[in-house]
Amino acid sequence: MNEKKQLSLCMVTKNDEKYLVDSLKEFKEVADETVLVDIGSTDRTVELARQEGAQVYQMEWTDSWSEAKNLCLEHAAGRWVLFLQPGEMVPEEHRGKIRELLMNPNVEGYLFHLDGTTREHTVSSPVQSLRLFRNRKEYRFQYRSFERIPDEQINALEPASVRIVHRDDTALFRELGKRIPLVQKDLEERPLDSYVRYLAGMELLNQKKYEESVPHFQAAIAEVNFDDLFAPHLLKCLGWAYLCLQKYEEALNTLSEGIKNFPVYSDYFILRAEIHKQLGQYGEALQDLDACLKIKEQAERCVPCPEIGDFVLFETLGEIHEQLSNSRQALACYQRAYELNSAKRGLLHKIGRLIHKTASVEVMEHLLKLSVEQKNPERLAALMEILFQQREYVKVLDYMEALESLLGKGEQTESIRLSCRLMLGEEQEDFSAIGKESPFYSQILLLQIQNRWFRDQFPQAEQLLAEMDDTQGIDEPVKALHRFIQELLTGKETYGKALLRPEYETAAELHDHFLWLGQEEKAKVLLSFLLKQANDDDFINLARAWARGNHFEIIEMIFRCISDEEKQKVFKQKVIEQLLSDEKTELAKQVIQLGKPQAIGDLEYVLWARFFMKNLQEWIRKTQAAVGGKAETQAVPDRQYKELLAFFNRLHIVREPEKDNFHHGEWKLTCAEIHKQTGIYYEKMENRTGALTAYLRTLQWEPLNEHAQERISCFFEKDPELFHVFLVKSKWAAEGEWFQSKREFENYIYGFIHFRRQLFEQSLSFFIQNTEDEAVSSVSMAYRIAILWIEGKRAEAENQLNQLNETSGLLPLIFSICKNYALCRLEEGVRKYPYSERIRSERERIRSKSR
Amino acid sequence: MSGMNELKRKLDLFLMEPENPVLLNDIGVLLYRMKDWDNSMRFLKKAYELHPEDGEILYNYATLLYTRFEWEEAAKQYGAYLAIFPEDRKAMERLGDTFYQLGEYAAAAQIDESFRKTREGGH
Repeated sequence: MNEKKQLSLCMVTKNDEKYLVDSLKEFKEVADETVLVDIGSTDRTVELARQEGAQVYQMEWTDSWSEAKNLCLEHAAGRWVLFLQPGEMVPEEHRGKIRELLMNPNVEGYLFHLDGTTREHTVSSPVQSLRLFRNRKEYRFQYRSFERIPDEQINALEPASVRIVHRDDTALFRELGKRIPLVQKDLEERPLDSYVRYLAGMELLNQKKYEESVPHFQAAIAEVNFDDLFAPHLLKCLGWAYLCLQKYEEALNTLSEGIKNFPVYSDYFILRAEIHKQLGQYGEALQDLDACLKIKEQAERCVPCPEIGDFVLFETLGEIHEQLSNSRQALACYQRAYELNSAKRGLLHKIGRLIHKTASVEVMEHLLKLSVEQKNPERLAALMEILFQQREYVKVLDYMEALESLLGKGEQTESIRLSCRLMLGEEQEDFSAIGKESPFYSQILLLQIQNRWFRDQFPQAEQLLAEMDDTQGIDEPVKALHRFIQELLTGKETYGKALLRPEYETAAELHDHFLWLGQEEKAKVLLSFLLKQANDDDFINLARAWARGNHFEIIEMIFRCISDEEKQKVFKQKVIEQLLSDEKTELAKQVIQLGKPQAIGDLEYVLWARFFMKNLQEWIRKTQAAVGGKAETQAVPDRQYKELLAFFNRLHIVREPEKDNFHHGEWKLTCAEIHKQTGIYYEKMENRTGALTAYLRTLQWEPLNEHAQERISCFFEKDPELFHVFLVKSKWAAEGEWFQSKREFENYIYGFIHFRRQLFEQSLSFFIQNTEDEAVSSVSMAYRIAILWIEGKRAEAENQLNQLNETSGLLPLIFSICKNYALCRLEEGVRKYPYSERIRSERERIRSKSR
Repeated sequence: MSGMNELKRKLDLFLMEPENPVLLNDIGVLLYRMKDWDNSMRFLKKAYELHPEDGEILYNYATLLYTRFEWEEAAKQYGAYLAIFPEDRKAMERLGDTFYQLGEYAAAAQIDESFRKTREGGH
């Protein structure tokens, strides 16, 4: 029996002898036959094809790819056809998947991943990715330039994880060169056709003629059927054109229209996020990227596949977090992007910058070790260069041996080693490894001069400057700069000198390096010169360098050089950010007072909290070194605890074994913790009254429990009247040692709720009721004193404390109350700046403070 | 039929049969759904007084008491209901929660055990 062929490989050729044989050989095992239509080769293409067993048909070229491909289809005998060009290649591991795809009875055609873009040709249509489909007589191509089977004829298409790449760039250029000129012919023949207008717009987009592309895309959209394969891409192209033209509103409308019609085409979200980013709408940008991530997590696959790679998504996400000063999140995103595309060197620099900023030494260490393990000298050298720029010279020296093991010992590695030692200010005498003819000689010579300056050896520097003058490889402006600095440092130069940008940067680097070495006088000499040349960003960088020491007067002097108020604000933000990360709170407070009062965004909350906690700690320390509080030391009647624990176990709350309070299969929970967990459980079960009771009981054991207080406040705010009824009717269970009666406890509840809302007067009225009773609740007294302290009535607070006999237990309570107050204020900050990593980090920092 | 129309119809019937516990229960439930707690309490309490062994009435009455934070009374009625229907997991959970509200942790922890015994005794 003659079995029908499964797969026909189809090709259209013209002078393709270079690639043809390889291409045909690769598919010998996959395809049952090869049908080749030649459109006028003058080389050996036809002969070679026949030698390889292909059926060859020759036709006169009619300026139509459709006609050539349809001729292939006329002669193909397989159930399925696969179209490839000789210059294209399917990697072996992907080739192996093709036969399997033919078995799916529910699919009419597959879209392959087509690597059809170059630096000059960045946009390509998804229509071109339909390469494998069933051989039916109704499936015939149309259009001259970029042939297409109309969507009315073919459906049930699926993306397949098969990749097509071009054997080399010339193959792709040749291919595009044959097609692009035909777009004009298509346009002349079908001026109203949406696909043709889309193709015309896309080619203009590739030529960066954005303005001209827009009318084509608009005309295409007016006529397009949204079921067409190219429809999602068409909307994206128009959005992209608008984005490039900075017509953000139109771009946003187009992309939103795209999202409405094609909600899983994730490229829209990435582009929209990019627009929001450019407009400074970071919250919206994050929401879009979050939506994009969720789409990518879903199993449902989008037809056609979106084009923008995941690394772009993570890089954009990183850029937005960086703009929001969320350095740690930005770092994590860049790392993820780099994992997905390690060819992007720029990412490594971004990672390096954030590692430095966040002091995430372990991340750098990991990357360095990985580079060594993977024997990747390019990456290792790039990382060492980053470390060098960050003045981590010792770390660079640590990895020199590893670098030498990968690159071999030579001038390059020796120059790195010497550079580090010179920058460290060490004395170096032996430069024999870098001869005058070496490409590294100039750089080492300049560093030698700087090294002499670091060591106050100006005559020796003069000698080296003379050597520099005789050196050909150093540009004149660089030579002039070094001469000028020598004169400045030796007190000879009195007039200013205009610098080109690269020279300014060299001088600024040197200025920073003097400061890094602790040579402030030399830095000052350079500073007065640099200030005359600096722009607004430079002022910030100069001030940040001085912020590392306690030099308010210099920061102020630099600030006075900026006249624009908005720039002054940015200056304050950046410098305060640096000061806070260096724990220089006092200096940060001085900086915020520079110029006119200005809001500095989320940093205001952080600065306030930092100051508040610093003052609080100092006050507590001054007032009395306190001894341990009451909360953790209460004795719990054994029977009561066992009953509570038995009840808790009955609730079947599943806990993670790694949690601290779960040891060796036994519960080690306090009563407060049991009630708190019960509250969380009840909330999950939507049993609100159960949860409220549980949180109230938590406070009977631990009156300052942050979670319980927060949840109870929420219940109150939701319905104060119902809350009151509940409280009145709730059964008083005598637990803990803090509160003796229900009335006292109720006063306490209302007291702290108002305290959290910063309604101190109302709060006080409840706490006073408690402390007027005979049985004084120390926690209510602590609240009274804390309120006085927070309101700035420190003397009164101290006076109240002095009137009490026993204060040792009170001070830790006051500290905790004030700490909770700071956390509440930061919570307010989180609501105002929901994406601020700084406020969240500050909250964690305060939470971890004991006293 | 909307809740309000249904209630009107039942109230008309109530004028004719003021001592019908089933009708009182239905009206109580309708009022409960409308969050008219006081009137719901009036009808369900009367239904309960007229027919204290009726499981449905008991359960509804207990649920209303629970909703209105009348914990002690709610515990009593759930207990009575469970004596008739010891297998009802939902009622058992509710009773456990009620005991927690009352601070009776031992009773809350032992509910399953005590109703297991009731079930076994019943067989």
